[in-house]
Amino acid sequence: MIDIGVDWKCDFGEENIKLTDIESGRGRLMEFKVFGTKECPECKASMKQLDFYLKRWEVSDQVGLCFYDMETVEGLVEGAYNEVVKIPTTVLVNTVGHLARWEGIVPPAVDVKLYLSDAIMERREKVA
Amino acid sequence: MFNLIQKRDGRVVSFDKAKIADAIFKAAQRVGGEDRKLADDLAAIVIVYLGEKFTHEHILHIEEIQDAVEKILVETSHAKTAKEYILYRDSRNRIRRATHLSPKETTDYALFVRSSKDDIVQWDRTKIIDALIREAEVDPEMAEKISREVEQQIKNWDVQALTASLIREMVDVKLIEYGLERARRVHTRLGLPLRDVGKVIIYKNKENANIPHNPEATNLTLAESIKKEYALLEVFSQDVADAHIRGDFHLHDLGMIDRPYCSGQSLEYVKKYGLDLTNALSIAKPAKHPETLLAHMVKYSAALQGHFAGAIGWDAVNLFFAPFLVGMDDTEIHQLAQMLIFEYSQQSVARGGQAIFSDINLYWEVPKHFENVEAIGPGGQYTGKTYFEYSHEAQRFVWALFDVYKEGDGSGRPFFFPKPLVHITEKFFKTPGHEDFLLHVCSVASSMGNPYFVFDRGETAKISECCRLSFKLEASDIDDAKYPWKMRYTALQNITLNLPRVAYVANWDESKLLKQLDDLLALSVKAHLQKRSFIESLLSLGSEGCLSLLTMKKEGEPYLRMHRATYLIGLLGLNEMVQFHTGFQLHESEEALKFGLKVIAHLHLLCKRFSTEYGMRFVLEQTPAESTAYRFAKLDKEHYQEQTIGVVKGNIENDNIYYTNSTQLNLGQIINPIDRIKKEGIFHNLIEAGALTHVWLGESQPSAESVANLVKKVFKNTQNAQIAFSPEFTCCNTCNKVARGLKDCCPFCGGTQVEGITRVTGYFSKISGWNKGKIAELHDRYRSGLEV
Repeated sequence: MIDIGVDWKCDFGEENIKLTDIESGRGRLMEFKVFGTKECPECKASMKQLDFYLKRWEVSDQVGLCFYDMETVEGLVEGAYNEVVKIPTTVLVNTVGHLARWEGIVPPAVDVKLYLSDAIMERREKVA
Repeated sequence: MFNLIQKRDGRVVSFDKAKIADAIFKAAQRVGGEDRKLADDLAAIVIVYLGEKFTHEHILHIEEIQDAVEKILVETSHAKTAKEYILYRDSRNRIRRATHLSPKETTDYALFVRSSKDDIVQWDRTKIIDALIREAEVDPEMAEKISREVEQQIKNWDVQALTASLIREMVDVKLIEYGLERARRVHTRLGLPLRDVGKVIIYKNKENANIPHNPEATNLTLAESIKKEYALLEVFSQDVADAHIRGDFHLHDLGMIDRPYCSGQSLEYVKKYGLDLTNALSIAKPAKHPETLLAHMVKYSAALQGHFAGAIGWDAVNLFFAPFLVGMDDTEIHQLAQMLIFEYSQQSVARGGQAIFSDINLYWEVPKHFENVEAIGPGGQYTGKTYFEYSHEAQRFVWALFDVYKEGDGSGRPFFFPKPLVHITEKFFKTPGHEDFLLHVCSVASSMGNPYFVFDRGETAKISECCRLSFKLEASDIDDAKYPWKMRYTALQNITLNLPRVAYVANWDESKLLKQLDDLLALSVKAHLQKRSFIESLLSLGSEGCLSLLTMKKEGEPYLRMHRATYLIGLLGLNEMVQFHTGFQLHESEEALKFGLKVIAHLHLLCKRFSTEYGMRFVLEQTPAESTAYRFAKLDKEHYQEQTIGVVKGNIENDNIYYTNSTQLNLGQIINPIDRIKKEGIFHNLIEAGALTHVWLGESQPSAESVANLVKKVFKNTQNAQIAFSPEFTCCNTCNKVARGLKDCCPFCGGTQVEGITRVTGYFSKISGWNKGKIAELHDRYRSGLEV
């Protein structure tokens, strides 16, 4: 368990990272990958805010959120693979590929909601 | 006091009291004595004794002095020293007698030794003793013993020509016999076998395709072979030297051990200070005319080439020339551009008569960090304008340079040097005229292949040089940009890791593989520390040392700014490492590509850790590895034969084998150029000291628009750091015409005296100078016409 925020914790598991298993089809519809460092305030803010949105819109079970520490081998590998050049970078991926990308900024709620609209709609239909 | 003495051969020479003391002290040392002062005192007593016995007008004979020494040593109770002195004197006498009495015996002829100082001298066993004590710190008793045994052996043999090197080798064998390995190491003689020297003089050395075959080049090869041995024995520790010899890693340019690797600088230094070099025969004040500035720049490059092992790079050349170009018409500017390129491509002045390995960094826009810098003009004076105000002249000059590159040399062949490095930045695309300029440069890339496209994305700024090396400018460097003459960067040494071997040794065990990498990098860091220490010791000699040029201080700090040096960790054969470990090459599976990234990320973080620990900049670099790619493959084929099967590239049957350079994908695979550029590019941000992707064009000549389109896509859609397009040419030595592609005979005159030209690693060269590995690589290269 790595604490990267005041009230936000992310379980990275033994490998210091938790990959949502999208490729095998057992995972979620989409995943946010946040690339940053533990010391970077914008990176923490990105994680906290995305976590907050996913919970608020009740789509955590459909949309994954994972933090990649760019000071670890695993983070650098995934970062290089996703062509990350600045932190924070947030990419939204589904099983097909990249859906959206935010570089050097905290993803704005309005953008995030736009991309998650299908998942939010599905959730609302289930509740209804 | 006596003034003269007579030697045995009758010569009369000056009397020197110190020689008496030296002889006494040497005898004392052989029996364990250490007191030099006592030897001096005893020598003084000997002189007093001689003064009592002879008048001062008497010319002393050497035998009279030696008798006196023996007497005084005995009378002052130095029996052991006296005995040693007497024995030594006796042995010398016997040798002398033997030589004198039977001069026709072959053994005695042999006792005249060809010394290492171009002289024939009489056999003198004490020279062995002296050398063993002085050089190898062998104790006098053992030195005496060895000298006697060697002497006996020489007497027993029928040696016709006794040389100093043979005697030294005999002594070294004795040192080994007595288990004195450390002493043997420092007592060893460096040099080459006779046959090898003959080969070097007769045949071309193919280690570096840039070096011609001429007497200067053979001097270089011979000198390098000795310096290489010296480096491995004296500069580096045995574990480091062994790792190099085994091929675990490669210490580059060992033959130039007394130089840093390469240098990047600004023309502002020459503009401001003129040509005022340490130990130069004349001094030139700052240039007042563009042609003079050009002459200073080229001569300074030549001087630097003699002090560095690798490339000499110049930053923003067109911009820094600009204040000199005001008022010149197009013809004059074209002429200056032509002079610059011809001067660099034809100067064969240093390092074995090779052309200066030179790079010129060029910009269409005025880089942000130079915009507001005060421009230096003729006479080293500020012009009162900023460089931004000279953008028009800078653009005219860079345009003219590419006009010249496009024309080629007198036969229409591409210029090999200076290499033009065109920086593509965010600002480039916002600068008026960039579209036309890009098309102009891309037409040269397609037709002649010269330009390198260096991508500086975001706020990144770099000085590039060598085959792909880059010095990424840090915040403090951007501050230095206000005074551009301060911008001087060096890479001190390059050490390349044999990545496939790491995989072979790990035997499919990933944790073992990573541990192997840790150990290899730690040893590389140790080697870097040793090289740094050696260079620092040379620099500490200041104006008396061989690197005096690099110690000159024009503006407070030495020319070579050691605090800004980088220490390169080169990479070789990632593709083959991944292939052995995962079963797939980098291009064959996502798993393989990600494993490759994992290795490079691991090394990147290790470099950062070591950098923090030692306060030095250890950075990864894509090694050009012109000969190393062949050397590693060959060594591994020999020592890891089973593992290399199906992994090593090239033709195993005829030994034309190689490993894929650095982190590049298999260059024989048919991969769409943009895919290759993109995939190779994902490694580039982790390789801070420079990376490059080649697009091998072969015979095809795509349109300038296609090349420009690709360049734009690469900048905007990939993380690739640098690309170059490489066409191939056939030059006819009979009719002097140049054809596209590699041909066996001239398509114009049918002549068979043809020469192939293309890019070997990061520069153009004649294929006839390539090593076997590079020839195999050339055969395998997948050529693309950019029809994507």
